[in-house]
Amino acid sequence: MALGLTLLIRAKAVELKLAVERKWFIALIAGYVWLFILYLVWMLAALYIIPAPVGT
Amino acid sequence: MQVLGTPIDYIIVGLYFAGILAFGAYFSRFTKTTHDFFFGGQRFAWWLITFSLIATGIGSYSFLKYAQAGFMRGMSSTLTYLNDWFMLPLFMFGWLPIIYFSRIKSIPEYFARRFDERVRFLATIFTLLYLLGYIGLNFYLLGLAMKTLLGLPMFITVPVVAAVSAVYVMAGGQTAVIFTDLIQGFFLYIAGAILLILGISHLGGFDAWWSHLDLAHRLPFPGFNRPHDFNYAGIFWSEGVVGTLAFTFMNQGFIMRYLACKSVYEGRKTMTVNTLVFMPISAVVVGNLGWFAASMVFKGQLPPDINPKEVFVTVANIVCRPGIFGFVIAALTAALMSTIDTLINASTAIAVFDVYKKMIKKDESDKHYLRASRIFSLVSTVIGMILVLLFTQSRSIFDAHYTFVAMITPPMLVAIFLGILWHRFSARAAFWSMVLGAIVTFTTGFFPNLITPLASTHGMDKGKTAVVAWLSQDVPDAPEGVHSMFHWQEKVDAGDPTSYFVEFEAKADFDTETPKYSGKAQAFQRVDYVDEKPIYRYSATLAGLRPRTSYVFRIVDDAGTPVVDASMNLVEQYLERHPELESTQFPRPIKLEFTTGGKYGYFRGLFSLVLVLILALIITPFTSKPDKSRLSGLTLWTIAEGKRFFKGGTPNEKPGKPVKVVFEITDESAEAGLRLSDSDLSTLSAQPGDLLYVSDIRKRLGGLRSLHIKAGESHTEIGKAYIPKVLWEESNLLTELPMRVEKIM
Repeated sequence: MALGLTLLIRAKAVELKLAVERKWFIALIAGYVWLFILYLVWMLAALYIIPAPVGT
Repeated sequence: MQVLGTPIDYIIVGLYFAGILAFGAYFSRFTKTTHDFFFGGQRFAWWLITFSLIATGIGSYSFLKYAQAGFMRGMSSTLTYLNDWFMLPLFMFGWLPIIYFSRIKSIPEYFARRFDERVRFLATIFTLLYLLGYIGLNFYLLGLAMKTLLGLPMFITVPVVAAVSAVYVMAGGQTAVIFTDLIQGFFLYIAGAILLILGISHLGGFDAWWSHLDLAHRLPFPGFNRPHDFNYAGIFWSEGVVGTLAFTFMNQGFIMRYLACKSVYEGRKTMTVNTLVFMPISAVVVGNLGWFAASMVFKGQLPPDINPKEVFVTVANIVCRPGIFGFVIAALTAALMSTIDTLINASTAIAVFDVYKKMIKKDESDKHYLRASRIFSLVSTVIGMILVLLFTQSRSIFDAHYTFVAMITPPMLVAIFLGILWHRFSARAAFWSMVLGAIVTFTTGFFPNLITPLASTHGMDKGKTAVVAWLSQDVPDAPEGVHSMFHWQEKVDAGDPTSYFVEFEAKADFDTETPKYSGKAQAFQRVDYVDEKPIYRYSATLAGLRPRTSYVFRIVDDAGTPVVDASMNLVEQYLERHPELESTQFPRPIKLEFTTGGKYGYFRGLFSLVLVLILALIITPFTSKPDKSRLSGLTLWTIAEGKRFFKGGTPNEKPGKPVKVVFEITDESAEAGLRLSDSDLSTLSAQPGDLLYVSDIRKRLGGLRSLHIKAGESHTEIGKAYIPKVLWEESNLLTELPMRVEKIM
């Protein structure tokens, strides 16, 4: 993954000097964080380390 | 199997068909050119494309397939939908800008410009095979689903759905596809939400459902590389890498949808929201009935030996009422039509741009090609229906799907990847690596042992069978406290004469030298009486392995002939063959075997991908370097040149704000562009010559009435714009409403 992101920057496919491109690069990283949190919460709920949401 | 459907269900499905047909046909008025027919005029907002992609990404078979997977694998069945983000940066920042800015109309066209016509020819064949095969597969799977659910034969359901899809695609092209898919996406989600609510309600609430799943079913990940037919490594490489890459990089239908966005940034928004928000929701929509079924088994509401393939219909039958079931059926057909319409439009694009226009009629008017496009839409549909006949020979849904994807895509993917990443990759290298790669890929289909060296690294060797035990009346009595392996063993009473339960030491020597397993095994026989007829059920597992997802067990008779091949065995079949064995426990010796590996579905794609890549790397140094003109705007390193090509000048990246203006139509030529005031241009941070996007002030239209246009010379009337009549006619803008103007670059 790191290799791929480095490649994008080195190839200037992501032009970090442009604000809009920086925003998109941050969104990309945020996507990984989001998935990490999603899976973390899911696993903790599965293990009952945090209570699963209760509803009807 | 019980089939469902009441008259009210059929009425709802009929109304749905009629509604979609009328709605799709309405958009024919917005399709005036081939650019409209295939790319919707390249004018749409991200949210419209995102919602339309929801429906396109869910096939009709997804409900059956993922209900089955959810029942057998639990929540980890969602992994298929949640792997995409890892592969998408290259699409968002590489492939999408390359094809968008280079104004490429089809995947084969990329091959023509990056390589040469010979490679384009190959790519055309591969892409057409891929798309037409998918049309056939989707028709087949819909027919299968409808046969399962309603008992209707394929020769009725497939032509009806095909006719509806073909009519609105022929009339409205991509615009009709996008808007009908928008509706169908909503429909799918509403149906999924209804099933979710009804299922949870039936089970007594969320907590009751969740707590009645075992840990393995609650966790989001399966084992790393076990069992052979469902593990994380396999899913990552097959779905996350090969599948995702195939769908996003070489699926003409998906690419055309992204090209229909008004800008690359809108395409990125689409990809981001779709992958991070809607795909997880889609995973819940298609899999939830399987998860409920697993919980119902635990609670004793479903028999433990329910056939996983019947999970969807069984649970739908339990939770749905007449009318609601019709809604679900309509959602299934929505899922199919939204996939099929995309594929029909995409295969037509290849047929028109890369075959008809390139090889048959080169210099005709756009109107001629638009007519041809409509005819080819019909032809694609008919070919797809003919292919249904071939798919009826397929062994199973999973096999058909994976084998097809895995065998067609590796040579194309490698060519695309090296094409955008490696300047040195030449036309000759692309051609030969695709030819040889295709040969090797097809060969693995006939000689699966070729995959063994790679597959064995993930414990997915060629498949070995070992005798675990012989079951007979001589086996020891069941000891106490062994009822922990299966959910449904809570119901088992060792003293119950209808049940028989044993635990024993088992050893399995797969290759006679290295015992792969040694430990406790358990086998279970239960007899239920239905109309005084005994129904025997057998099952077995090995300690430490997950029930239902572990190794494949086979019960064979004393001659070694397999009686049943499933981890949860269907003894009705057994009794049909051996009616004389009805009254005794383990009436005659039964050999219990289990098998590891033996399926290459997951690994064939990765194996071929690696092999074709190696081939390409070996071949390339022996070929001459590609000309620089073949690289401009077509590789990761030359996207900036692509931007200049797209605009026809230096891009203006300075951020600006949109403006709202009233407009007046002029008799000027198209070259005059959109003339705005100095002040408005300043707000936009735009200059004459910059590329602008004008749209109807009503954002809810998603860009249906809009146009890309160059900024013309400025004037001094703030809040007013002048647009040439010829461009206004393209835009579908209404004269009575103001327009919104934004700068693209």
